[in-house]
Amino acid sequence: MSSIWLVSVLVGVFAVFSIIGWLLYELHKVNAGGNKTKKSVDELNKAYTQVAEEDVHHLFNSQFREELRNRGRLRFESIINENAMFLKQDLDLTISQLNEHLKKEISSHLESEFADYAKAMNDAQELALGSLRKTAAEVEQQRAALSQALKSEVDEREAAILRVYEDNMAQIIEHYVQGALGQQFDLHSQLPFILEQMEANKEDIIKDMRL
Amino acid sequence: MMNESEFRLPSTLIGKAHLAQLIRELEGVENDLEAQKAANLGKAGTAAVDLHVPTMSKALAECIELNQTDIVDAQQRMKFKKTLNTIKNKAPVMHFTFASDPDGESLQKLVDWVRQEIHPRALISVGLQPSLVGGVYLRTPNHVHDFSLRALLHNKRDIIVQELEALHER
Repeated sequence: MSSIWLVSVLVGVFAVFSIIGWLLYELHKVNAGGNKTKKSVDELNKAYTQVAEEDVHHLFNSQFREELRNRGRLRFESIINENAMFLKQDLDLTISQLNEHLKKEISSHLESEFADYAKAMNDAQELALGSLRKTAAEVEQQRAALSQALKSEVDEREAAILRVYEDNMAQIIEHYVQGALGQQFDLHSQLPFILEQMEANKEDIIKDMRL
Repeated sequence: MMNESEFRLPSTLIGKAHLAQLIRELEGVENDLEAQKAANLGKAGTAAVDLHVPTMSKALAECIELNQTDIVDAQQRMKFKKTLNTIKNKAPVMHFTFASDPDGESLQKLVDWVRQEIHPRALISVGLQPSLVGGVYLRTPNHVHDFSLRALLHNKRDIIVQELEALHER
């Protein structure tokens, strides 16, 4: 805002000097026209000069100078106001254009950024989903393998325990029978069994006895 | 008097120890008869046929009777003794191990079967092993035959295992 005022003051100063220069030029032109008829004019000039010298105080009196000053001031003010108005209009236009441009730029930039962000988010999401799917598949695979290993281990252990149990149970039953029968079997009751067994192996026994 | 191959052993005579005992008894009988003979020789007119046979064990009496031996006849008696000694030294021996102490009657039946089916002059020695539970553990000169209940149970262990498996499956 201060720069605007500075420009306005400079323009006003320039206008004042221009007016003063123009007045001097007009006066010089008036003076130059009288040289042709130098003698008569000199005389006339002398007379005029004399008159002017006499009347200078009448033409450029303080009232006239005040009026000129007022006119210059008004003109200067109007020029300044006009320039300020133009400047304001240009400035408003520029600001509005700048706003539009900024809006567009920012919007496009934001849209681009949002698009990139959305794309990155999608990519990250896809990556995360892929990673999760892969992890889930691996976990499932490991679970299946572990389950299979556990099942086979349990089956193996069960079979081993069962085998040991059966062996032990057979031994227990055997011991039980041995303990229960013990001395209860007399030879008389066993004789048919013994003779049957010997009859079945008679040939082997005879062969051995003959050796 | 039968020859050596036809010689028969009574069922009451079971093992080598019995046979040795029988031979010792026979020697006693022989000594007694010789003493009687010597005593009779001192007496004029006494014949050898008047010799008195001393009291003998059932086994010896059965053996003498079974082999139709005249024990008073010195020659037959000597042959009988020689045969007994030969059997004692050369007869095949079968070692029977039982779970419990065998009774005499069953043992005689077993001896009869062995001498009838296996060898007529086979001798038997008896052992005791309670862990056999039942049956017999037979050892012949070159082989071993386990007819014990322990072996039977051990061999048939699969049946128990199968039964247990069936029980487990149910």
